[in-house]
Amino acid sequence: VAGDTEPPGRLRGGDQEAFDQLTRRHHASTVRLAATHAADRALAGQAARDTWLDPLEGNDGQGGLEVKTWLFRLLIGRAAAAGAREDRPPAGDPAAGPGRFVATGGWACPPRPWPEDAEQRLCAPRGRQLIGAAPRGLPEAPRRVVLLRDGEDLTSGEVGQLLQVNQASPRVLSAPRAGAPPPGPGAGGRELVS
Amino acid sequence: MAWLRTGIVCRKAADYLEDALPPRDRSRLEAHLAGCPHCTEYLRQIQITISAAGQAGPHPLPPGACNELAALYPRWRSSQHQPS
Repeated sequence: VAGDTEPPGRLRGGDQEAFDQLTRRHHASTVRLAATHAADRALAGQAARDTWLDPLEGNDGQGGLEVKTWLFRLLIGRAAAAGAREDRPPAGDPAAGPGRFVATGGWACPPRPWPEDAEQRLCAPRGRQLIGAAPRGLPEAPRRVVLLRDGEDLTSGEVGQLLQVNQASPRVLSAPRAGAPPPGPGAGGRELVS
Repeated sequence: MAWLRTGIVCRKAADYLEDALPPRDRSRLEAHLAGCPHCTEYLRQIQITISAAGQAGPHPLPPGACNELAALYPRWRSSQHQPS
């Protein structure tokens, strides 16, 4: 499955090894994305497994997309078709909620500085655990943005296209909510400054 | 400073980090950052979080998941060869 961009005709031609390579490479990510709309991990696993049938059946053109992006599109399409709850972001500016700034300007509650080695700490096992769990606290749409943009390294354009977000940066959906502590991985951020 | 009053620095942070701000807005934001340690720290924390999130991969598949997936393929193949 060289390059991951070639149409998976080898799959339809009976290449089990190609199929195994693709699933080993992308199934865990597909399950993680499925978990943004599935009620539990077992259902997420099932949704991801079902998604693999689409490339086999050739139900949807790949359209030049990388296999991973294509799979994600198929999965999101399946979720929408199944009537998965839509969790739209609240109207208005999610970052500039009341209480974050004083009336005359400036921070009412400025972010507590993180230590110099914050990144190393977040990349250590405990930090990874916190970062990995943090998106679960987000609503569906921003959670998908974080997973796709940061976790899967898709471009902003790809994320916008997949999620049908018409914004310069879909990441704005994952901006901190009004009243939330300044950025960071929630408990992870608090742990860093404690 | 009017930017801060409306919280636009925070909202624009996403576009700034995606390099999606128009040049004029980018210059204004950077001028603000030069004099505001809190907003600078805010952006630094977002950047660190993004970087760390990129390194936190999905959970490994449970035991047996790969075999289960591998079995999906021959089942699909045999269903293709059955007379309709």
